[in-house]
Amino acid sequence: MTGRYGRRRKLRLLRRRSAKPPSPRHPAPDERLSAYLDGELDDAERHAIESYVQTLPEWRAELDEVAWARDALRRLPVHEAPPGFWEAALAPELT
Amino acid sequence: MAGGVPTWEEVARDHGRFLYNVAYRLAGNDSDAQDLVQEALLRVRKGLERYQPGSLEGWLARIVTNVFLDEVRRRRRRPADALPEDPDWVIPPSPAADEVPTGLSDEVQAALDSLPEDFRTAVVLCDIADRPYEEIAESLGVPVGTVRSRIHRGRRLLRHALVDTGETA
Repeated sequence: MTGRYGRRRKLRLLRRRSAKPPSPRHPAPDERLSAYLDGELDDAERHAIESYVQTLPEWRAELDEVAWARDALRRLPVHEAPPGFWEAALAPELT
Repeated sequence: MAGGVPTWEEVARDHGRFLYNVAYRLAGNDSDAQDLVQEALLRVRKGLERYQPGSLEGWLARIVTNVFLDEVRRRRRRPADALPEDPDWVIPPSPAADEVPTGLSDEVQAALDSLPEDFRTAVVLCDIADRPYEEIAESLGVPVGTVRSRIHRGRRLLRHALVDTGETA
């Protein structure tokens, strides 16, 4: 009896497991993070990204990564042309 | 600026610095940046009459980017011409005596140079020229989704390149 009961219980458990919907998998971090930093997302996308960043460490880490790179690029100084370049480049045009 | 169309002098005086900076960030050295700007100026001059009043810097960024990409394609077609990765090809400019120390900027520029051209142009147009995605997409002739992807991947590659050289602050 015990053995049969045990088998039935096991079957019930297996059925319950198979009926259970798969656990929702979160999307991997993607290019929306850069678009988020650049203000290029609509409200729905922005809210979704904020939620991922607040709850998922891998999204937070990738946001920090691209924010660092973006900041490094935007803080580059303006690179000036060598002295005399503009005079030489524009002289024929301005005369 | 008569009728919204700038004069040649206005373009050079007010936006030359912007144009040169974008060219330098794309090319990675002064010698090529000068060539890019010279060619861009020729195209600007030819196109001024057709210029539609709008973002002048957006238009200039588009022109210099196209000059850069044309040059990249030309060099690919003629492998005898050295590419920027060839150290002999790049003649480093002599530093000016009054050059301001730029901290990490040389390392960031080197990391930018290491990016594939598609990613580099997207990142430069976004983070150096400060153009919106839609305008970048139009300039490069690709969908906005592609621009989004290139900017993101470009930034990640740049970050990794700097980590590899131990230059993260």
